[in-house]
Amino acid sequence: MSADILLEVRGLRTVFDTRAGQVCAVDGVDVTVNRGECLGIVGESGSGKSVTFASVMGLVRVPGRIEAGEIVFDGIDLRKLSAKKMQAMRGRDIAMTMQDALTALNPALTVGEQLAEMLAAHADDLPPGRMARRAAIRARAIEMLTRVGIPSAGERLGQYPHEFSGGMRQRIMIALALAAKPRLLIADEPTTALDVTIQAQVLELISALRAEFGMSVVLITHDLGVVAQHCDRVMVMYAGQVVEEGPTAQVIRQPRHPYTQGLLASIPRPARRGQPIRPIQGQVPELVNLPPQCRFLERCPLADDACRHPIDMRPAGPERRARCIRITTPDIEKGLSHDI
Amino acid sequence: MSILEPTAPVEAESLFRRNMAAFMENRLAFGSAIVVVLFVLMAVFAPWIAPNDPYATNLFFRLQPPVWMEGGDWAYPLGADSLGRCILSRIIYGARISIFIGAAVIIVATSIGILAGLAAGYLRGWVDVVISRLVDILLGFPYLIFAIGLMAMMGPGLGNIILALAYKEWVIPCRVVRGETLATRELEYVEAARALGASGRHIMLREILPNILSPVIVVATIRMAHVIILEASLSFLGLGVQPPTASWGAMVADGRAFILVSWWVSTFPGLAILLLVLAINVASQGLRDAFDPRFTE
Amino acid sequence: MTSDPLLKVSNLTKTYTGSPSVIGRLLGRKPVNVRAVSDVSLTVARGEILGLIGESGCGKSTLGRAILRLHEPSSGRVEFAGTDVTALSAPDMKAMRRRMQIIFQDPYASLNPRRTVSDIVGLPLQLHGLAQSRSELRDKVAMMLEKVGLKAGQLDRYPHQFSGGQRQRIGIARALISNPEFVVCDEPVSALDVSIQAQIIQLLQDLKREFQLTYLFISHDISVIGYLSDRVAVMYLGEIVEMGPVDSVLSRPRHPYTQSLMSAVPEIEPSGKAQRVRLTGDLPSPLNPPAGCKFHTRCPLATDICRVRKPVTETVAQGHTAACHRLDENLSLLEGASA
Repeated sequence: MSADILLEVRGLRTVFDTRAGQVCAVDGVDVTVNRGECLGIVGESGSGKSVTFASVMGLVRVPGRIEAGEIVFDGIDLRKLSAKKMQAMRGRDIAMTMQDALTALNPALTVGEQLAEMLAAHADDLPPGRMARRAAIRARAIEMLTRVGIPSAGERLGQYPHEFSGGMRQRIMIALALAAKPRLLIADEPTTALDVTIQAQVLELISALRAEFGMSVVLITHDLGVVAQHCDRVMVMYAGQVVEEGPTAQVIRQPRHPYTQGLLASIPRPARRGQPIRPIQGQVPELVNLPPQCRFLERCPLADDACRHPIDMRPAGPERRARCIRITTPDIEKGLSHDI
Repeated sequence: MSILEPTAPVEAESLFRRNMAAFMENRLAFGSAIVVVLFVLMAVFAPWIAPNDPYATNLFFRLQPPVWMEGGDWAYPLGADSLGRCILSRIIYGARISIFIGAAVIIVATSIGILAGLAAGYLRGWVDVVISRLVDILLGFPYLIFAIGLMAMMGPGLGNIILALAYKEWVIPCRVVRGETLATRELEYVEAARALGASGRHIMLREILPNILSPVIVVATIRMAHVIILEASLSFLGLGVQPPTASWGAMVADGRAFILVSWWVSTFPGLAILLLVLAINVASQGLRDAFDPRFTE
Repeated sequence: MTSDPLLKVSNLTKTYTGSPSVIGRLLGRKPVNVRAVSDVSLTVARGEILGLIGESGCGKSTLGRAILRLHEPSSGRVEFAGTDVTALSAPDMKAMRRRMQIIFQDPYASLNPRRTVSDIVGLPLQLHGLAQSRSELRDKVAMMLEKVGLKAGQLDRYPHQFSGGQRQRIGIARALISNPEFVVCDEPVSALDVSIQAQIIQLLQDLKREFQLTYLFISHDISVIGYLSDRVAVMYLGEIVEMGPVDSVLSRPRHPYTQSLMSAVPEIEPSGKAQRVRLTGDLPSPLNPPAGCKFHTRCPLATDICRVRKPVTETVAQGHTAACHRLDENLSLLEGASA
């Protein structure tokens, strides 16, 4: 494994047993996160993007379970770790922020208490002695809140999550996630619940902190615009699989997979007013008892009988891969390519 | 984010059926429900089941012990009371009174409670103020004393018992319905119906009511157990159904004088109350767990 | 634009009064007034799409509902096709509701889970006596379902048997079955996935053409508004701060709030190096709105006058108005746009 790779996931398969049958939420997903990079994960609901990283964090619970795959973080196979060691790893080495900060923060504890708990559990460099330790934790908590842009942090330590606005709560969650200076931050839809002006503030904060702490960031989102602005590389997921990955600018300029193309064509743009929008027809397939064939087949304008086989990821240019057999055929260039 | 949120739900089973399936899986609750059903069947088919005429007195068998005790006789499996009446038969017939009054009070009270609660929760304003204050006042009275007072005023009789208990019982479903209505009326489908020009009556009865029925049914079953105890208490105090009609509460009262020598006269009707009330309670807890999403998550 | 707008809203204000608790009243607390919509005037021409954009809590949804009298306006007039809607009696208002409809944001909350699709979509027909028999009602509902891309065979299904996008189609069918002229679209695509969002936008466009509809399209997404609308109104804390033709407003936004809103949208194709306008701080509480210009607490251009006096709405270009003290200076926060 190259020294640049921080997280490597191979062949991850996470399933959920439901009344209706086994739902394969993540099916053979490979992820590579390099040190210091920001990887964007794009997908619609049901694409498996959140479950993939819940699996990485060891947060998949019954009725879900990881069926297969390797999750290697900095040379350590996370799936082989004991629950206790994994627990210690979470927060200290890998941290995750959730979409809904109001439910993800404990409503019964003040922000200061939650930060202190996190710091006490993970910071190794605290001075000995109870008073000194407590003072150090408090100073660190204030520093973290100030760092994420919360004014008069000292006074606000004593407030409860509901006393903060949505954007502020998201910042607090980021502060909590970063309290132990993790090497990987997984931000799950950090701005979906926020207004655009606040979204811009939060995303820029994450970018600035990434540079400052030298950590890697995985940004899970449904918004290709967010990815275009903030991520070095992007992975597009569909129905539990990765369908395309590569450097962000290239993927957006020249999407190879028909789903990525359709997704880009679906975004309404003021510049294309008056022109008809070209949505992807149909809907995401049910993840129960999927036939062994291309998952996008039913909605793909290019599909034919050759697509009725399991499709693997294949090279699609320098540093790029896509899960489509038509990549080399010319129609993908002319038939679907759209003017952006 | 939940991946389990179906993109196009496969199962077409209704919410009700899914809840029922959950209920059946709860063995204790399901067993209790069967006990309740058996009590109901017993009440309905009392004349065919009872070994003796519950009103036939036979002083020869006065305070006859149950069959397994010395001096017991198969003619009176659970023994006889101070007038020589068959205790088992009287318990079987007494189930009719308990279940009928329990059901009637709950039906009357729930109907009133639903209408009042819907009106208070949906119309708000002075309607809400009047109904809510009335509820508060009624809640201020101790239930049994209130019922005793009413019975003393109205005199005994089946209809009066139902009235006396329903007088206060309706506030319970009313409060539940009002609360649920307050929450439901803010939902967009209610607003959608208003936007389409629907009347208040339509919204209350067709849009809101079907959606709040589950908790109301759950509360109704829980309260039914309570009403059965109240009826037994009234009968015990001699204010309920008048003798010689068999009523469990009155039977317990009858046996009080002989409790040291002939314990069975009071004990068996007491056990019947206990068993039915317990079964209803356990079954309704199961119903609540299965039907009320707040308890399933 | 023709002389007679289909919808004319004048000085519409919606105030919510929160009454204090009993203890609060004993302590002499006064009821709190929240002006969710403050003195809003706008017109929508027949066949037009007016986009209404703003962040959460700016009052855009309240405005849409006040126009339909789902929330009774506190003051102001709403004229629809020449009739003052605010003055209508209950029966007249009911009849008017057939002509003015609404599509909701949340495809889950907006459909009654206990009623079938035919009940839900057929309700307007039933309420307004538009179907003589049950079979006629079912036929009409089936036809409408096909128009919105669902199958006639799905009549007797319940909402939970549909996906989010399909549910939104049901909501659209319900709004359009009574053949209205005007529809308030309250964030109809915000809760949907990108690919489904595009399907619904396309559907709304097709239906607008087929039924000759007029939309008030409420959204927080400037891309959707910019793509769909003919004109756009920007709301901030209950007030319209800028309004005009989409081309004019989006290419030359004059109000600093519109400018910051536009620069905050993450663009797919970063067009050169667009200068970012960073707003600091959060939206002020509507309970206690700032004096003067309501935007001054977050505005990078704010001066002393902005803190005391409320700006008046001025025309800045053909059909394009804005309310800002510093319009004359022709400042722009966006790179290269200042003239």
